Formats: sequence, C-alpha cells, structure tokens
Amino acid sequence: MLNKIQEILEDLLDVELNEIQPETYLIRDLEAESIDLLELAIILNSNFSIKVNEDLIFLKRIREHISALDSTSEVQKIYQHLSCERIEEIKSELNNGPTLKVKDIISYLEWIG
Amino acid sequence: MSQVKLNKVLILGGTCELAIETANHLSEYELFLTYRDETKRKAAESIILQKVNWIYCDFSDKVELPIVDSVIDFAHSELDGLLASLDDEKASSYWLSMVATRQQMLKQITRKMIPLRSGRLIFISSTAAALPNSGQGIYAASKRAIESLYQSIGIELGKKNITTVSLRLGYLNSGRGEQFIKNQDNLIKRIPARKWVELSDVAKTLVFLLSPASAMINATTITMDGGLTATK
Repeated sequence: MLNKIQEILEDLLDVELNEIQPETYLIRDLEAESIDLLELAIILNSNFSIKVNEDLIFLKRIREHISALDSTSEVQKIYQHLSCERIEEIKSELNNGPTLKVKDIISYLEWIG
Repeated sequence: MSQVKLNKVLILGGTCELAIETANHLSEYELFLTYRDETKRKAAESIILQKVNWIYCDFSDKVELPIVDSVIDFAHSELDGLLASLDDEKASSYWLSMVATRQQMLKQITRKMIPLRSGRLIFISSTAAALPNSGQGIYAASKRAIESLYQSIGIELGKKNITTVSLRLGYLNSGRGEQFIKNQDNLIKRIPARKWVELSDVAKTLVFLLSPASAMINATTITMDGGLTATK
C-alpha cells in the first residue's frame, strides 16, 4: 500500500519518492494544498474503486472533534481507521500545524478496503 | 501529472439560438448539448450542422454528465417580476434550480476535469447582472450568483489548469432580446458602438474563449455590449 501511495503522491505533488514516508506530513512537509487533497481523493476513488469520505481520510475536522469530545475513545469512534495511540499523538501536536501524515491515508485505505 | 485534451465540449442549454450558432462554429470538437424540451431539441437538431450528443437535463434532478474538458453554460430560465411581488414558491424554486442545482452540476463536471488537468468553463451572463431593469431582480441576482460560482472555480482549480470566465452580453439581436429591441427606437443610441450584439459575434468570441490563446483570462467577467454599460 505504501508503494501505491508513494507513486500517486510523487506524481500528484511533484516530489521525490523517497521524500514520501509513512511519517511524512502531507501539508507541512509535502506542501499539499486543499485542491491537491481533493485531487488525491478523486484518484483514490478511481484507483481503489471506493468512495472516500474526504472529512475522515484527510482528518479535516479532527481538531474540532478533539476539542468537543472528552476522551480519545470517543474521537476514535469517529476516526475508526486511527488507533487510540495515533489520536493521542495527534492531540499532542495540534499546535504544530496540520497533522495529516501519509500513514493516516494508508490506515484509512486499509480500514475501508 | 500530464494534461489530457479531449476536445469535448458540454453545452448547457443547448437548444437556444446562441447555443445552436455556437455549436455551428465548433466543428473541430465533439459536442454534448443539454435540452429539456423535445420539440426544441428536434428543431435544434435540424439546424446544427454536425452530429451532436443530446442529454436531457432540466436542472431539477441530478443528471450524469459526460467527461468533457470544456463547458459553455447558456442555461437560464426567465422569471420576471418585482422582487416585492414575486410568488415565494416560484422564486425559491427558480433560485434552487438556477443556482443550487447548477453548483452541484459544476461540482460533478469539475471533479471529472481534475484528473485531466484540463478544463475551461464559460458562463453566459448578462449586462442585467450589472444593471438590471425593473422586474429583472431575481434574474439579475441569479446571474451574479452564478458568475461568482464560476469565479471561485477559476480561483480554486486554476492550479489544476481548470479556468473560467463569464461573458456578460448586452442587447442581443436574437430571441427575447430581439423582441425587446424591436420597439425601442432610441435604445441603440445609448450603445456607443451603435450596434446590437449579433449571434455570430458571440459564437466567434466563444471560439476564442475556448482556445488556448485565452487561457490567462481566468476567474473574471468580460462584458460584450458595445460599450452600453460603460456610459451614463
């Protein structure tokens, strides 16, 4: 799965393949813009014959959900593709900027697939 | 990611005189025309010189639209009346179909354009959007709203080589416009160019606006009225 995502992102964002690792931030490191994420969703829909939920896969509202919900387990009920450990990690770095990582995309695709 | 050129044009509102004239200037493209009246479709089919693909679309239900790399949007209904007297239900229904449904159609169309990395969308607007006459309130407001949708698409998707432009037309010597200007002897004196806008003027301009030469005209509105709205 990582290889497939690397190839898609390499082409989409015009970055070197070795720059795309599971821990790479899509927005902070690869400078993906919202229109790039929209295109990524369209490509994933086509390549994997799925219909991704763009809010979920790109964690668009996770900041809002973390703020509104008391426990990590409640947040995890919404983001079922993420582990509680990953949500804790996201919580700890909310102030550092957009938290979406390549591994989150992979987790979503494995979860939905 | 490489750009894909299909040379396929979707013409929304494909049975109006302007659409027919434009279709007859686009022989090098594969054309998809929408219609909502079978009689008008048949009449249009007999005038259009090339074979085209027809799609039923009345702006009320969701319709599956083809993958194209260009759109010319003529579709617009009339709803005349003073804003203070318009029927609530008719006005709501008009707004829903003209603006909200159109936004959903544009969403569908542009999502199919994104993987192509190529798209050109042209909205046919009216000088009424800038200077409505009395009774044109909701028509003018919807034109402005749609211009705004097109402008935002050009801003949001420009990076993916998808661009937009709205073309505001002045007094047109065709259709409803022709009926109106027939009885307005002094009106032409208000137009600096002293001419009405002709169908072929519009069609030739649209050919240019579809061409690569116009690619940097994006997210904006062009007025084609012989100077009418530039004067007091």
